[in-house]
Amino acid sequence: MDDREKLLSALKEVRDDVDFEGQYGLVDEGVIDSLDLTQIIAALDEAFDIHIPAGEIEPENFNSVDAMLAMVQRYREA
Amino acid sequence: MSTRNVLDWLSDAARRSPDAAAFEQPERKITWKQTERRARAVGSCLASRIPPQSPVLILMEKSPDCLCAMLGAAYAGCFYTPLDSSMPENRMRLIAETLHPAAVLYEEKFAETAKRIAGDAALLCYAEIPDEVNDALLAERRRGHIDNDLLYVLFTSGSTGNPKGVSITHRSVIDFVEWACGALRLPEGLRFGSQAPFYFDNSVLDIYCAMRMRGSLYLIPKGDFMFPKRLLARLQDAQIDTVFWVPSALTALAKADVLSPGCLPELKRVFFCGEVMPCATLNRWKRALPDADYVNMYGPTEITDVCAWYRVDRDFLDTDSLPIGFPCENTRIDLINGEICVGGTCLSPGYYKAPEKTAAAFVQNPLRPQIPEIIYRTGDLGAYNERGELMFLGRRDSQIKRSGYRIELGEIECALQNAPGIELCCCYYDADKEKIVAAYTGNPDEKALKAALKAALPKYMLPDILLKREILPRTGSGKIDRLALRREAEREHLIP
Repeated sequence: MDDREKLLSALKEVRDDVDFEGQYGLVDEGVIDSLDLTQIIAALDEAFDIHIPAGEIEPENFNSVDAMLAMVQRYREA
Repeated sequence: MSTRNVLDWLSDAARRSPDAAAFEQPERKITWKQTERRARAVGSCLASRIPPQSPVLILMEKSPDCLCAMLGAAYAGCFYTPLDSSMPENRMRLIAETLHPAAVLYEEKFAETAKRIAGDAALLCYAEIPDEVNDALLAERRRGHIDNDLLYVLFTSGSTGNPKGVSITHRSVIDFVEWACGALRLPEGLRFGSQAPFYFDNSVLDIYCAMRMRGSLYLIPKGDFMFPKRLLARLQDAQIDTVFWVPSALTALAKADVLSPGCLPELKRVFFCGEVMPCATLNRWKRALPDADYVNMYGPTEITDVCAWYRVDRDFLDTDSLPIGFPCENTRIDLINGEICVGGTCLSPGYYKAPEKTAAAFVQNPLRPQIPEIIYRTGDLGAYNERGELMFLGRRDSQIKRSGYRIELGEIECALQNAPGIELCCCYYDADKEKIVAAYTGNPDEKALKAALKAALPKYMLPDILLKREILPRTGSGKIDRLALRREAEREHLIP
């Protein structure tokens, strides 16, 4: 499974009613709320074995699958 | 001024500070004069359609318009219930069935939902309400009003699976707000940064203290609370000087390490209520804002909002527990077998159209049986420390708090029990991991189970973890044993 598939399957666990691919305003348009976000962060931590510090949680990083993927890659390199 | 109706504060603000900002959002601002005008227009429209003292259900996003709708209901001599627009429609329907509203006020985007839950209520789209004011009609409604009339009914989680509506009168809100403005030393013209949704009782302090002090209420977008840096910037830009938040919102900022000395020069008052405030959070805030006034408050929705308060007057270790302090004016607190029982003029007259539930929770004070006095049994346990301050010791039943929301685990269990394929079930809350764990026996389809829960419960009540078990542990009396279940789950490392 590549990173994208892994990410999509983690997101599916949190919200199976959202089609994450192709959405670009997940946070700004209110598709995901604070409870989703907490769960998404926990799911990413687990799926990719990374730690996202709370102070670095910015809306831009969660607005789309691409943005989340880029963030995951940054934290994995760090 | 002897206040008999919360709207007296609105007239006063509109007269003395007509052009000052009343309610604000990032993209919108209305003044006290505009608020009064619009609320009177909404009141006129309602008064021409429904009788006085009837319930008005409000299905709108948190906004200045929603506030005008709520105050409009008060002008019509009616009382309001703001609904959480994100809750499942089934739950809205349960609330509507209990409330039996005379009118449903909605905003355009919720039109379909409003129609489905309205029953025989008058349906009014907020944007279509004309700006005309019928002074004579409003005056008539005002004359028939007494301060024991209801102002609102807020619904909270109920253990039997049905939300309970807590009724609150004008008198209770007036006495509470008069206490709060004095005790909390609120200055005129202050700027509240509002976190609490309007269906949550903490908003009562925000709204009516802002009105009483002719200040303003800045409605912080819900999304900001997910992003500490954005939230901090919002507080700075909006020049917020007072916050009254649930501790988890304050903790989110503290934990994210975005607070630094001098980061919020305008913020003078940091108040909290709704759940236990961890001293570690308080200490982080105090390091960044050593001169702010910190006040811990405690109280159930049934006593309007707050019945005990403690102004932080000394240092605490991160591991200490913060007192909830002393009773507010107009309220009294008795400990009966360790249970915190409260009474006074801010006490609700009971649960709306639920006499049995009311009789069980609102009882004659057994400590003074010769004097008629109703007290509310909170279900919370308390004790006095060596300084005579009240300490909160937890719940005696299965009610929990998550992000400030009051949740009856029994209500989650009811929803689970009603899902297809479930035999037995039991929930517990792991406060350290902030997870609601639901265990069950039976063979439900997991997807269908999740869908059933989503249809029945608001999001903040959904279990984080579903555990399928062969059997559930029992206590000696045959009840399902929550504590044993928790020990099993921990021993077997079932909770990540």
